[in-house]
Amino acid sequence: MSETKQVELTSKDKVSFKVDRDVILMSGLVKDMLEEGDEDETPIIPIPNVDSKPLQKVIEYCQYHHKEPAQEIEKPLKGKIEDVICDWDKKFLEIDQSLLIELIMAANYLNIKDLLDLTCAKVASMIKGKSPEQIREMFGIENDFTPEEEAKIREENKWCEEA
Amino acid sequence: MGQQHTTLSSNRIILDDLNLEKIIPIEIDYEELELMDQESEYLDRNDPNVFNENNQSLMERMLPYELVINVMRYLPNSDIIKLMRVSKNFAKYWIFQPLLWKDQLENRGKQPNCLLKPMRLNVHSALVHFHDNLVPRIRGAIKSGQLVVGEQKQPKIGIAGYGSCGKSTWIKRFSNQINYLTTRFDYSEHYNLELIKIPGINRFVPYNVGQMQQCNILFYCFDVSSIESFNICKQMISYFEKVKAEKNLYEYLLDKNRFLGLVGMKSDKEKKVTNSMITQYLEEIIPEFYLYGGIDLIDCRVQYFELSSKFDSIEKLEFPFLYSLFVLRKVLPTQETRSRYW
Repeated sequence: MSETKQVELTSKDKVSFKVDRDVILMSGLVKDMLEEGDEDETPIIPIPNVDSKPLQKVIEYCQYHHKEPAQEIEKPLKGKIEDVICDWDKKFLEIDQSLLIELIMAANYLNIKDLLDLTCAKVASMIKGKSPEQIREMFGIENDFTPEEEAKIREENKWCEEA
Repeated sequence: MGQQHTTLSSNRIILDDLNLEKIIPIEIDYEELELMDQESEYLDRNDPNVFNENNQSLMERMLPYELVINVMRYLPNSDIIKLMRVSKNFAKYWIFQPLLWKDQLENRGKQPNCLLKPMRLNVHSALVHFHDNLVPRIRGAIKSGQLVVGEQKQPKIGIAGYGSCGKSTWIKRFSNQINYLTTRFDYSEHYNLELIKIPGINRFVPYNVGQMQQCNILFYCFDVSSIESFNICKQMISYFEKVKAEKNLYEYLLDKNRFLGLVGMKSDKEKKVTNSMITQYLEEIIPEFYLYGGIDLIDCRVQYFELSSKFDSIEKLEFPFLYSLFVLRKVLPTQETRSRYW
């Protein structure tokens, strides 16, 4: 047992990553697969749902957090997410929106709860405190209300911007 | 004690302090909610009236439904409601996901201080209705001063009940500017309503029915740790019914535009009067006809509230007032808003 056991992950776009077994055990999915009992030196695990870019991020996350467990993020967020996560996570989350969404999917598929929480909370934090116009801009969507509908919803929801 | 007692003294403070999160948890049948969740009949993503395929964010397009909800779980209610203004998909689809509200409610305090019984409404509609319609309307009405009860500019609220159950403290905590030892409080300056406290009553006093009759809102209080006080409270109500209502109490409340609030005080103590006893009693007051099919949650003339006048936040303490004033409001939700929810 002198040498760390390794696992090889293959992404959707056929890129292979060698990872320490201890590290990738953070993934519930991989853990279950490894427990299914093969004694290979370096088992190869295909991850057909995840591209190499998010997969690499996932591995980075596991490499850091398998020794430094993440703190739980409370729901709902009181302030911005940056107030409650560690510096490493802050840096980790400096990514564009599409990679962030891909990471949510990867964390969900690979069953890594802390990463799922972190990424979901990050998206929420991006929404929180923004005006509807700012949220639309961020999401790249249009205002598809008729002026009447918009006025009505605005009237009904006046209170929540004033409170 | 001290400065936090001034909440009722200014509308501005009420609006600032009435944080949605702090308002009551509702008693929810979670199993029913889960059932609703499976059915989700009115949340058909393929229905172009509900979901606009062409205007999706990356999150909506790529993530499965549960994960979008999971993102929203990290948002405070006010931000969730605000999402309704972003796009039709949020306004008509995401906001109405039962899973979302189930979670929002689970995150709140355990003890219900208002025994809402969703009647004609199913649980989910009641919840959404409560969050995005009832609460903002209460606030809006107070803020704009448009709350009119019947023809009366200054609605009267009568508070009666078992002696030493905490009525006085309840009222006192609204404001430290008013001498609570008097039986008549005038909040007209701030709130446009009049509060009448019937002094500590025991079983030998004829329950001041005359005074209660003049009130638009009748609160009957008892001590949740004392079965006796609950029985006396029931006697007082039935005495009122016999002497003044001249017919079924609920019909009377409807007829005269009155609201009856049953208030369980001292909720910090061990509860001897159980929820099922209270529910059973409420069902005695509300005729079957209304109970099964004829009534909306927010139009129900009878409601139970539970409070601790010593320990509850001002928001909780003033909720019965807001709620009952809302039930008596003159302006009903329009047909259009109704059809959106059920």
